[in-house]
Amino acid sequence: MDSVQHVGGDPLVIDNLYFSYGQLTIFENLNITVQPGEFLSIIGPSGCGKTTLLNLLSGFLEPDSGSVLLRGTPLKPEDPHFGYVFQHATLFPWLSTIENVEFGLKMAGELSPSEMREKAMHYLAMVGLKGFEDYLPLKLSGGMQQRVSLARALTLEPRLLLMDEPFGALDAITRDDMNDELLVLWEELGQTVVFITHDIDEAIYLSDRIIVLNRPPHGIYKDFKSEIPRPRSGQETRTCDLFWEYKKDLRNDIEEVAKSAVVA
Amino acid sequence: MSSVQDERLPVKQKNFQFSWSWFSIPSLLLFWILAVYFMDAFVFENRVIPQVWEVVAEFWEMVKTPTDAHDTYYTAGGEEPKKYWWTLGSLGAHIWQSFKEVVIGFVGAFIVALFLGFMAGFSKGFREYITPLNGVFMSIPAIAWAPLLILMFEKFTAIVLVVYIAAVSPMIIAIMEGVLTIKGQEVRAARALGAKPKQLFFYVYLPASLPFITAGLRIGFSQAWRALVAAEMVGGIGVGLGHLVAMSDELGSNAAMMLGIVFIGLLSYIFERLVFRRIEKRYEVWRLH
Repeated sequence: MDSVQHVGGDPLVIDNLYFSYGQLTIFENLNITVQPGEFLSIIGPSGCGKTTLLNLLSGFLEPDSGSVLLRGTPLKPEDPHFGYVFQHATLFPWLSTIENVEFGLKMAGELSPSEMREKAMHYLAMVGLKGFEDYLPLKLSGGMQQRVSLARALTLEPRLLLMDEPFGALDAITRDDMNDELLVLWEELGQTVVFITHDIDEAIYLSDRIIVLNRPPHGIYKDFKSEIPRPRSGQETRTCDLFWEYKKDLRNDIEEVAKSAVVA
Repeated sequence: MSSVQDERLPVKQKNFQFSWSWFSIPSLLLFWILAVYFMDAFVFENRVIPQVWEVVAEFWEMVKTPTDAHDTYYTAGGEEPKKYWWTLGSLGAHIWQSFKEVVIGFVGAFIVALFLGFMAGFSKGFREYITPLNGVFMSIPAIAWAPLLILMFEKFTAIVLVVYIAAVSPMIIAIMEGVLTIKGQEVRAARALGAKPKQLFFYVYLPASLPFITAGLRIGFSQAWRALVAAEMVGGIGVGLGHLVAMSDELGSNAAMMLGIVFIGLLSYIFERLVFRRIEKRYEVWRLH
């Protein structure tokens, strides 16, 4: 797969973004620039607009004003330049695992059936599910379903991956495994990732950069770059001093954000 | 695709696996026989319900008796009418007539319901518009339209229209409800994978609504079949299973009447097994969530 070598040539720019649900303003003058190849986590207590932000990035929602631009054009949901991994796997239950992974290629209609199958098999193997191609999604465990969902997003070889609490519904052990695998994949493929989560450990373990969202409509509470070196690996990274320090800070930050909401 | 099919097929069962359902029909027949004996002995002077074997004899009698209208249909020119056992003689004429009427009315209703049901599912405005109309047609038994329709059309057309009216509204509602329950998440996932509106319809909405379409088919068919039998009794054109039951009453042939009743049930059962069960098999594995 040579096309993955030159992914992420352009930054994703969120410029002066305003968005509200009726009277309720969610974002006011929000500015974020995501560098190509960067792994960005967005973290915050529930109700601070994490998913809304991802919907704005992907074009499922339109901003009131301001823009989200990749290569100078706003993103639309149908755009093949980015892949979307949802909180729940949302696989199509009437298709087999491999047919699910092929879905995006089939919609694009550029490859022959055998080429589609080959490519889909490649990404299914990459998420460690070789041999499960003929299973119906219903027969797979929650973690396996989420891997299929990841493979399905990867087959279109997107430059940008948007992930909305993708492992939030999984148990802690499975989630750690999935985090390890995601890092391996990301180091190999090198996409820009915008990762939404409410799990502090997950955010620190994965990210180059972490943004803590404030309560609406204040936008960003904190934006910092992680100094934890790469490559990162399991226990070593999760128990290093820097990890604990970030964890303490982030916990305080999130408590502050939550407290400010109570006062308001 | 082929290997997926294996997943969907049921587990191969042992050849002789015991089931209590083996006793259902035999016990009914036994009850029938005993009940007729009992009534002969103590209740009626003249027998009303024929014995099982009298009905079987009637079946054979009808199969042997060809009718011009029916059996000449299968022969060419004005030659000696050929007889085929599988046309089932005059009984076959009744079955074929009912079959034609129900299939034309039901398939017509299904095509219309598929179109209107999807429209009602997608468009709130159209859903609001069509709901009272469905309510009106659902609250009037379709057979009530029969006398009026017979005045307006040929009898065959009138019966087909009664079948259509009976089937169309429940099918529209079932399909509409099905489209409404399709999860927005699946549609979003497909859009994020690049599906355009037309592709969304064929690759997401259509497969996702297959269970509801089948449920609609079932409800519609049961309504259609009931209406058909009633319409044939009212506006008989001298042939059809409903007519067989009604006419046999006048002729005093209770065995033929009973035979009509049996075949009304049997045909409906065959439709269920051969058509609806087969469609259902395609999705019953994944629908379990």
